[in-house]
Amino acid sequence: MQFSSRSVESLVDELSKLPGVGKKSAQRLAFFLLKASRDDAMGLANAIRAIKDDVISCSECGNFTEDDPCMICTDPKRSRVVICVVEQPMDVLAIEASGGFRGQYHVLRGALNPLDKIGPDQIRARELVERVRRGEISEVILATNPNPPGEATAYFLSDLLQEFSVSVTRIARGIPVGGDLEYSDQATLARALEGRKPVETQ
Amino acid sequence: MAIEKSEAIILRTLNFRDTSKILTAYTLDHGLVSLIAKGVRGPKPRFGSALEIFAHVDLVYYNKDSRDLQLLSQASLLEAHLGLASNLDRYRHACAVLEFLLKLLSGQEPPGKLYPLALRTLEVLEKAPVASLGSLFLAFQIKAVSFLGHRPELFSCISCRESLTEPVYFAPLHGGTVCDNCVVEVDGTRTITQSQLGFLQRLMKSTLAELFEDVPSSEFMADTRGIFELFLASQLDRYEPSRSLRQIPNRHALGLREALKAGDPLGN
Ligand SMILES: [Zn+2]
Ligand SMILES: [Zn+2]
Repeated sequence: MQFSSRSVESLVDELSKLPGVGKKSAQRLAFFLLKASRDDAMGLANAIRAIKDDVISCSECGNFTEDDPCMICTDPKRSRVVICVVEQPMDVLAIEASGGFRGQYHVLRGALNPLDKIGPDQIRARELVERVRRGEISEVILATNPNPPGEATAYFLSDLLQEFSVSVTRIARGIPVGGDLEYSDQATLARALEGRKPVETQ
Repeated sequence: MAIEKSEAIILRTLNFRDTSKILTAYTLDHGLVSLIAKGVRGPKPRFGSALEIFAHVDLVYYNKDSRDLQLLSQASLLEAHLGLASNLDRYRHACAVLEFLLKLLSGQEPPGKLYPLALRTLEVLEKAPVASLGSLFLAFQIKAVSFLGHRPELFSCISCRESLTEPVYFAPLHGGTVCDNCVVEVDGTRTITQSQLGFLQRLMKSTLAELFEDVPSSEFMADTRGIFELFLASQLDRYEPSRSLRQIPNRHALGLREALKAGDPLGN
């Protein structure tokens, strides 16, 4: 399709680089922005500029932040002795939304997967070991995904942390709350059985 | 649009948009197939562990030859091979198998011996003694290239066809062993010791389970692997040495920790 304007054409090109945006959707978005008010359109442009100019990676935990160290790493109300290791910044959001954790995070930014060219040097493993070496940490919770790369990463990290006097734990894997035993596949069931716990009695 | 059913091994997965996944599956009936699995992630995930690498699954999908991505309809797990991720050595070798298949397969392969070999290799890598994983992976490679028409000659001279007596040479470019009489006529030869040749012959002839006790020294393994890598590189267009074996460390945990202390890059 030939555009009458070169700027529209280049906007469509840029938009279609976004994940999940095809040529058609990119055109729709471009025309929406063309018709939008100047304030709305510039608001988007400035927001994009701000995340590129101001958002950095926290040197402690590896999460996205504008201040280094980030708000979570510097929050005096959070425990400094427990550290929860996750693959992605999105995972921090999910755990924070659960409200069930008040410690520190360590964002790996990936999981060991040579098929996607991700090895130990790509996952901030060294930074984790450095944090643990400083001695404040007493527990490391490995909350990588329950899939093969996530599991392999958990084994790799627990191996690395063996020499330190920290307890290394792995989040439980198994049947999701609201899930059905009947519809769980055998791998999920096997893990759920493996991760069974004594029933607490009064 | 035809509906297809096939068992398959999942070789690659990629999260796509908020709730979908793109998969590369090695199907028994149609070779390599790329699939989109819509709405399988998110608050109500579908198909559980069936859409993870190493999984042996039954797939149902809509196939249209004009499309690059076929639409997944059903997936049920036959075996997750969970053990492959529970030890880094098993993991790196199993990833190396998937990586080799992704490089080797070009698409619509007709059903053949390679699929059952691949499946059997994953099963075996999950349970075999860790020390034998290197031999098993090399055996998988030798058998796999043989099934695809690049069987190395290891039992007679590629030039005169006579049986071999010491000294024996290996000509990667010509695909096999060369006898002492012919070595001057064949280019690119290198020596191969009797024990290296015997090892490669065993890997080719034995079943995978018979190799559990075959644990050569790491030096012997590296040398023999080196010879076979030369063969692979000259026989296969798109061959690259395994990234999985290179990138994921196999050093004992202590070695790794020492590497960290010394500031070495990990996994090199
Ligand atoms: Zn932080
Ligand atoms: Zn000869």
